[in-house]
Amino acid sequence: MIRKRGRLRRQLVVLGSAFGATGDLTRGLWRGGGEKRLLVPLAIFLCLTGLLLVLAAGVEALAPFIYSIF
Amino acid sequence: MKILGLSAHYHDSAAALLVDGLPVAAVQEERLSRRKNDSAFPIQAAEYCLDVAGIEPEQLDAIVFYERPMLKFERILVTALRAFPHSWRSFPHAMKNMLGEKAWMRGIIMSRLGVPGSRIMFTEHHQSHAAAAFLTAPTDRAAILTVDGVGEWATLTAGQGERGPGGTRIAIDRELRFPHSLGMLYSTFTAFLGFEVNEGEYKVMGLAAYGRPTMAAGVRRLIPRTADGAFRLDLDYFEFQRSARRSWSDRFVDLFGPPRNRFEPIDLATPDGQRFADCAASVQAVLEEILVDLARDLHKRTGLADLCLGGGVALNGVANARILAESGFERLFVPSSPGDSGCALGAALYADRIFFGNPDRRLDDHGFLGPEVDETALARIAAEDGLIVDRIDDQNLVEESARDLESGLILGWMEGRCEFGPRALGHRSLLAAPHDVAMRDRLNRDIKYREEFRPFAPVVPIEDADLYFEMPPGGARLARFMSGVFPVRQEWRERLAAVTHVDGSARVQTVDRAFAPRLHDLLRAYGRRTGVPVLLNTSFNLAGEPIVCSAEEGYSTFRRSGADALVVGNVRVRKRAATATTRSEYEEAMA
Repeated sequence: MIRKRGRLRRQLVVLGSAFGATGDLTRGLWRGGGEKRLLVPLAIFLCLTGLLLVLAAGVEALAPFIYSIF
Repeated sequence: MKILGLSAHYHDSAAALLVDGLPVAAVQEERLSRRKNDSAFPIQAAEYCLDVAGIEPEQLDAIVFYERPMLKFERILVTALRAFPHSWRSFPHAMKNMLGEKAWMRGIIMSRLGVPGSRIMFTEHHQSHAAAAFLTAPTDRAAILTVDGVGEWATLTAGQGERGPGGTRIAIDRELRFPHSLGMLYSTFTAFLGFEVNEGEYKVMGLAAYGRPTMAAGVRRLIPRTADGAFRLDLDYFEFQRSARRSWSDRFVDLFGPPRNRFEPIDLATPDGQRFADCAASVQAVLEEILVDLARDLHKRTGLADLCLGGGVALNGVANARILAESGFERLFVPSSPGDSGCALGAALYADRIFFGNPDRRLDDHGFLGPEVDETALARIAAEDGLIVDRIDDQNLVEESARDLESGLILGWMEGRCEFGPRALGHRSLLAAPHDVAMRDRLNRDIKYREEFRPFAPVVPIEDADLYFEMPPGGARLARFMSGVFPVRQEWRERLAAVTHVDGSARVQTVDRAFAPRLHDLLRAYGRRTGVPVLLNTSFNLAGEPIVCSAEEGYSTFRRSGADALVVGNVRVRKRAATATTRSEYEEAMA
């Protein structure tokens, strides 16, 4: 039986794991060399933006403030 | 060791569970959620798999996701930036789509299943396809070819696999990368012809038989061959790499004319209708040429007798039959689920055999890994509705069902565990007599509600297949999971009119007794009555719905369709008209 967890708790777990995933992406791009290394800052920026989206989906009260940024 | 494989978020999500190297359960999420091609996280499928094994998520040794999301994100990012500024419209959409959820698979699996991140692993998309094709096939050494739209970067891989007491090895030595993709070429034509991508490819293949490859030279311009025997796409003709709006460019339209409006039916009597059929025939012909060339080259390089084919393109039965006939391989294995859903099983197998180095285990050679059907549930709900419910022993059920089919009835046929993969192989099927075109039209009109150019498939005992169909050596094996299209023998085309496509071919399923004993017995009983042990077999679902899974869903579909009787295990339910014992009684009741 899979235990159901609340949305906020689920999103926090995702958030907690996201830094490792961002690190994986950064390492992959860095190892790609050349033009791919230039993408590292953009990739990190996009990932952080993505984390804001994840946070907005988890904490609904935050959503209006986060979406107003865009 | 308990390993859960997952595929999700693009199309057809699924879960598969291995216990000590053997699959104990595998099912697509759509069968449980009842949303066709459901791509959501397969929570219900995972729950079903764990229930079958009687374990909790915490008891899993590993959870394997079928691709590397961050590598995929890298591809999307790099592709969008390379296409800048043309991609400026699609870029935010792609980023939101990816970063909203798909990129964070480790966290999502942790949060949904409650397992620690250290137990979550990732395979590459085409490794999963290769494992699903090779490790489920009854062969110890084989060449492996995987072809689909796109995974992370790879769109096509070739190599070979070996398994045995010394361990398992899958070595991929050639790879083609996005945007150069046979799957994307075919999908572009699918969209151009007004069909839904990832769903309408069957329709393109069916439509191809009505056309002639008059535009094959045009298609070859889109996909020039390279010196090493591979190919590339001429990106001037495509926009999928920079736009989410459409896949083809204006130059594509200059070559093939305006695209089809998907809300207008294809009328083959009109010039436009014929143009669409010719387009389909042309792309199909070029796809076959390239696949045969690639397979032939792989055969030369490996010198092996067997080929395992995986990826969504392996669902193209016409191309598969040509590969078998022309590439030099003696046997061609396509799994019951070669597409992305099958990657759930492939990823779990890859992790078990390659990551953990567990010993090879021979798998059961069938795809019946989904939920079991419950005949008592059918008996209960049908009785509540006042329908005629019979409980019959195996022998009488088979004989009476053969009689019903001979008299022109359409039967819903459910038994055992449901199929893993897109095809109904006799456990969740609609069966009917294959002799009359009127039967095909009735199925299309009253039950399947689908385009008239789409053919129905025959099912035949393996020992009789060669009598009715022109099966090349190895063809019967390819037809085990309905993966090959073969010509119906000229002398039988009239008697098998409902399953013979306009070009004289049929997507045959061969059945041996060990594979599906009752279906085999039914075919034999039907053969004793009519002289032809062949039945029409189509998936038990209505248009736009997934194939039924439980008895309740089978019953609901039965009530909403023109099917006459429903058999679940040893319980049979009939509508009033279906109790007729002669054709005239039947027609009177139907009137």
